[in-house]
Amino acid sequence: MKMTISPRQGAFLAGNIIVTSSIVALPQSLIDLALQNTWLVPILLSLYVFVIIYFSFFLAKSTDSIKEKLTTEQTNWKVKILALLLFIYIFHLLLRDLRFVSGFIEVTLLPLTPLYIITMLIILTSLYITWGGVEVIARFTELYYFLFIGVILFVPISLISQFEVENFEPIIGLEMIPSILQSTFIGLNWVGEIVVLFLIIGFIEPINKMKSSILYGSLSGVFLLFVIIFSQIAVLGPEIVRYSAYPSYTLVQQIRLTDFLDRLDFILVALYFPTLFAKFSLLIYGLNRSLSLISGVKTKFTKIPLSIIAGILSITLFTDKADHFEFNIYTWSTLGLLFQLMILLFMFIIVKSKTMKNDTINNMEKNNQCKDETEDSGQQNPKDEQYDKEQTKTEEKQGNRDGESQSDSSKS
Amino acid sequence: MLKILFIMLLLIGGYYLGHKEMNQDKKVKMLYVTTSMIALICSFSLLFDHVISGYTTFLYYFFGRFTKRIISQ
Repeated sequence: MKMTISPRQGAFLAGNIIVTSSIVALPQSLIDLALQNTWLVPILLSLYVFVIIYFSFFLAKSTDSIKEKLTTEQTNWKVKILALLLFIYIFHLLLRDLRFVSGFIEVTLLPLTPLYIITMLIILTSLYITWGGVEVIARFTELYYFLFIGVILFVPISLISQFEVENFEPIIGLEMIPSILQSTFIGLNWVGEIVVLFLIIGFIEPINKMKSSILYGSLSGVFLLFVIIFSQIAVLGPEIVRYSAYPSYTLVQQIRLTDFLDRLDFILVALYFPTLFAKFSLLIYGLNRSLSLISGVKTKFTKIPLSIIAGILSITLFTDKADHFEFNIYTWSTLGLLFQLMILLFMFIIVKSKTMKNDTINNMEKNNQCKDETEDSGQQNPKDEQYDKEQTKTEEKQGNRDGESQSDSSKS
Repeated sequence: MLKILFIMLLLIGGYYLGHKEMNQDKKVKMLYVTTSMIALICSFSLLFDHVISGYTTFLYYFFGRFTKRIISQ
């Protein structure tokens, strides 16, 4: 059965992969550096999204060539290296996000439950979603990302009475530019996670809308990040946010609609978690797909050991929360960016080689077509005419020789 | 030890689910067994703290410090 996903689902997958984990983990680090001007950072991050998408595909004259290249099972060494890079990148991404989410649940929701149990439950749920394939993940994301957009837009609307414009002062000055750029550097690798979608772009139908759908989806994710950062600065203020472990959760706790709905945060978190599961399931799918591209063996059963390895390592690799924070913000900012650049480079090489190959095939076809046309119209190349003349001359000579030899034999 | 036992059960359950496909294609079987062995070896690190956390420390010394230099901390 041929698996396909629609451009809208592709867009939602792109938005989901950018925003789900960054919306909780990222604002504190960004606001710590750029303070009240952090709301400018998502605007700069959206430029990086443009760069990633256009750099990857700008050489491709037709997106069919990319699809052909990335969905074929017979891979060459370039695709294998790209798959290996994606495997390592996605593995680290999964480790980072798994530990972040299990830590978040342990601190805020289930303080008495062991980390191992939380991690295993997350893995098993994500595994169940990813078992159905990329179509199921896309449909699941489509359903819950739509709700998630509603949840995020509900936060500033419900908190509008608590907005304080003074929190944005002093507004942009020249001395703030370095800190905004530093903050943008931390955020670059979080929005660059859309490179994971290179593994599934072949499934998007119709393929000609792929680029625009990924672009719009990614921009929607960056916009939601902007909404949350803006609301945090406006309601909590930069000084509280920079010393808070989970400022987005603190922000949601500020919502007071009625007297009896004092724990609205649980409802909002419950609507937020399915998007995290969607992201994990996409990452597990990406791991399995890149492994099948490397090994040349296509099976879904390797998802089980791969996700278990990720779960175990997410617990054992980070000794405590401080260790995870250092990896999450400092180590991964450079390492993740490095991986993304290498993946982009290989994507560029693959698209370029495919385009060059297509160009040569097109040129050969054009030449053949021109030749056929000239033959049909009865016109001949001057070179061909000369060749024909030479051919007739040699034939005449041959004929004369044969005639002479026949007359000689009759004489004898 | 119960944690490792649970992981072993999961891996055996996965093998049972896909035994038809694995018996038909030896490559699938090999890949599953290899990845399961790695998962099992990794699971033993759950018994000992701070065994493989050196990897993140190692990465931090290279990339984390570089990031800190860029953001002037």
